[in-house]
Amino acid sequence: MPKFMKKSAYLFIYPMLIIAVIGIIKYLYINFSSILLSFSVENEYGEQVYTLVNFEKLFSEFTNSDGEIWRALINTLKYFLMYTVKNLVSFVVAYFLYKKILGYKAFRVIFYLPSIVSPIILVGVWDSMLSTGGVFSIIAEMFGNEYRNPLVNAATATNTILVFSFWVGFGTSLLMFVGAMNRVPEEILDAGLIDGCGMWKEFFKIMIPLTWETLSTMILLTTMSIFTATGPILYFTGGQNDTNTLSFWIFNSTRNGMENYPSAVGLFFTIAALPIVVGCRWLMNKVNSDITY
Amino acid sequence: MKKNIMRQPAMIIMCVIFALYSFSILFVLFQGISFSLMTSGDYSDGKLIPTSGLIFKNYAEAFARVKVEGVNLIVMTINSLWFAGGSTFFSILFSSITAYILAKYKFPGRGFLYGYAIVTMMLPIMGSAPASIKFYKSIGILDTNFMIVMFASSFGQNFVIQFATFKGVSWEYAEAAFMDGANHFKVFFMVMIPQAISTMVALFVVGFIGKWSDSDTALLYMKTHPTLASGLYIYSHRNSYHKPIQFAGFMIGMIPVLALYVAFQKTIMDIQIGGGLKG
Repeated sequence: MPKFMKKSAYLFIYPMLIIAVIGIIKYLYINFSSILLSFSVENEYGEQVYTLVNFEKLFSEFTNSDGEIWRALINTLKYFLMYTVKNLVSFVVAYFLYKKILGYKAFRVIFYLPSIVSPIILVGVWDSMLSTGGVFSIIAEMFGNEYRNPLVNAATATNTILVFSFWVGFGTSLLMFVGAMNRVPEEILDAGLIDGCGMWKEFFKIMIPLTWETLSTMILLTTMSIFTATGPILYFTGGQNDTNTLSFWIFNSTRNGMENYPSAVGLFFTIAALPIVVGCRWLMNKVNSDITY
Repeated sequence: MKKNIMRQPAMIIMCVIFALYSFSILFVLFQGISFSLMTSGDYSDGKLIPTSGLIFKNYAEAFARVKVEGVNLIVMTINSLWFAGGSTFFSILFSSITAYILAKYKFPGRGFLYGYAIVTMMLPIMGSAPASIKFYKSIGILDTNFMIVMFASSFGQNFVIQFATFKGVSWEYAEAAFMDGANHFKVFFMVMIPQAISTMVALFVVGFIGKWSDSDTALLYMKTHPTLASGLYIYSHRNSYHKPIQFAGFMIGMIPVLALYVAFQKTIMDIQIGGGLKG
């Protein structure tokens, strides 16, 4: 770019970036305030007093397997695991859509439907079917079995929401995968076919390596949510029956007016996620050093 | 070279699984519509379809009865349009500006901004909601319509996708425009945005759909301005009776977003295929 163009470019760049810079300042200010909140409690005069009491409380929860945060952590990890598996299933589903399975056009639209329908409707229908007097209880009674709504039982409530969250569709990741597969040059697949490459060989030896950038990025995106993974808990149970996840617990506590302890819990798990996310990114780069954001 | 892969056992098995899964999705949606058109008696008897005729009156009742903090269904719809439409529009606008500049220009501070985009995307900060509420309260915009600007971000996933899109647009278009006397602003708005418009529209539709269903944000930051998602949640939480009327309310809330999806369905599918994450 010539020098005079450079000068005029700066007159374009910096004013246009003002909003982004304001956003960064807001982000830093809010997160700095959040750190301060996590290291303080409110005294009887409504003033914030700096202390480590929030972290002491948090660490004491880890020694108690019945602790709210501990159970929320276990549930969060269950969601994380489920989303990781769902990602891989989504990749397999995408492959079959890419291979133009019978009815693939309809499947692609139907599979995306749960992403556009408000979760309150889907949860509402599931909730009705699962409740006493609902379809499942009628079927159970027909076979002479006693029925208990799994959502009101602490042992089964989280698993029920996990099943729902798995069922609720593959959303954007499915379209991303199909998109990545569509970009694989057809000549490569044809060459594989000539060499006697079957469907599974094509999947493992051609498709995975050639779409690795997208697949690894999606895996990385899922890993980033290791401590934020959650489901539609608000609509199903509102956190009752041991269904809290970390992020839902933080949301619910904030909604109920708590400030300091949720900030401390958030800060701790943000820091805890750092080495995991960085490690995962390193690993993904090691397999393929050209991950682009 | 094509081979009839539909004859392979894996294809047949997957086809059956896909059909069953599709049926389960359509069944649940049908059930939602069915619930919205039945009597309370049919609903509590666990009926799958209305046995006392289709009660379209439930929809009129939903408009009349569903109210949260004095806000009715129509105002909730306006709030949803403002919240989902406004914040998504600003998010796309802000992130497109940032993505374009970072993708096409080299300037002091670029590395910092790009690093910031990657780090903040890789590490979502948990537990900052209490501090956010305090901040918005202190500047006097908490629970006001101006919150939409606060929800808009110049970075995040929109930035990532648009960065990839602008990277893929040839700079030769800009050079030709510069030769014709265009300045940088003109090049951005008149040359580059049209090149990326399909990605932007698709991102808008996907973002709008997501925000339309997002009740958490409205519950935290817009308590007296309930959107359809937050308002219907509060209403259903407070009124466990008259379920069919609640379902009618849910269905009404789905109409705008369904219309948007039908109108832009091809665009959504295309953007994921054309732009998306670089593969």
